[in-house]
Amino acid sequence: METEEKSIRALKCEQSVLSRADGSVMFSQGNTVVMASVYGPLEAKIQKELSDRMYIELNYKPKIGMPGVAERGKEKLIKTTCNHIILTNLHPRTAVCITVQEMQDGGTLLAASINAVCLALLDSGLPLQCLVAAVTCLVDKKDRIVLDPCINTVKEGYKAMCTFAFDSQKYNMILSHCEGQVPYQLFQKAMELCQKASHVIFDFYRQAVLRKFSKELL
Amino acid sequence: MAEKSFSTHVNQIYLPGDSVALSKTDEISSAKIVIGPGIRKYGKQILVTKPGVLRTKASPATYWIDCHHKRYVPARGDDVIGVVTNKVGESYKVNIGSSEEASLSSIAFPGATKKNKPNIQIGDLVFAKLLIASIDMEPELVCVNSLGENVGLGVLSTSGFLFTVPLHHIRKLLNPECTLLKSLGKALSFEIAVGMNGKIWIKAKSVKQTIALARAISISEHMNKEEMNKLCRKFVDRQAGF
Repeated sequence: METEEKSIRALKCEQSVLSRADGSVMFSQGNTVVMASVYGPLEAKIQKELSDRMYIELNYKPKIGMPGVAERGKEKLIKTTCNHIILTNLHPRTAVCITVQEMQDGGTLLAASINAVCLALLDSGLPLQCLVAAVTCLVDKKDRIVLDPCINTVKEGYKAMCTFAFDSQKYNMILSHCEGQVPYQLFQKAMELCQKASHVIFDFYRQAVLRKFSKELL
Repeated sequence: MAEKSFSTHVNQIYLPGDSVALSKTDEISSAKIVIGPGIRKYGKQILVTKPGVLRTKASPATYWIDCHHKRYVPARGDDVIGVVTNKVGESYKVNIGSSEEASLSSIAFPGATKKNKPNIQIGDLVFAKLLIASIDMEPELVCVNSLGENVGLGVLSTSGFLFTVPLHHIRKLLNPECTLLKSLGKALSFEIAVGMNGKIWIKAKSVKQTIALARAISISEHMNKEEMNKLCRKFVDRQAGF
């Protein structure tokens, strides 16, 4: 009845790690470590300037080698979630530059990157509509759903791997990225598991902000 | 869900997407309620857009979020310190740390006319007030008040020292309850200009004193009142030679 499930791996973060960036974070989800930095609002280049909104520039840098097609794919996905959460109409004709650096690949890089970017945006003070939490689910060859798989589980092979991102207000799905073939019931079950797990991530964000402001709270 | 009293909402952490509950008196009164930085009104909901501590003030009932950030967004009426980067016709382009450079007219100085303009070089520091600061327009600075009088704004001497601190620290320093600058002033005499864009300019009698003051202000960022008092006492002792 119950497919194999566990909670997501341990979350850790360190905020404002970069002294020059407006917002930065070193985020780890289990063995996956990602660093994200945010600079903005900046002056936008004339070609990229948008008259009514802020232009979001996102760079994903892999640990080894030059960014390739896979990295561009990740950039597009992370940018979609950023467009949803940042209030871009409050800063027209400006740009925000977000950089994501892969530090260690322990599986679920896309989800870890989205979570790191959300924490970096929280650190930077850009106006946000809501927060976003991303969780990855894997359907292995025996049709078991594994929540937040580590790199070893991924290397064993899988039928499908799905990453979902949820917003913090109504826990609606903002992003869904799936690889592989899976029946619809399993897909729905995976989405529900991920939605439940996103609550853990939102609590983590709250804890992180609470620590940052701990000296100002009476 | 248990009903929380209003006192548990204020001075609490709010994250973007959380909705702010007004106090019962403010909800039913028809008086003006001011929504400040970090909060926006969406239809009937009042939502937080920046992470921070919710603060409130009475008459007029004001709600705002105290957040921590480094990047300055121009707001009208702020006094800022800028670096002159260019001269374009009759005005100067000044870098105030925002997304767009501000413009400062060369006759926006006390006693300046078209024939008598101040001598400002590229790279000079100016302490000016934001006259126009909107998201759609280029910010504009002036160094006079609306009557053309000298109000302590203008070019800052090059023998001072400029450094940057985060914006929440600037607000803490300018708070009348904060005694840090006054206590440091008991140890040393110095001239200071605090810009709301995160820049502080200090000039003391010697280089060593200037750097000591700049360090004291920088490291007091994470300190509460007792720690700041301890820092000032230590500073006074060190300056006296102990």
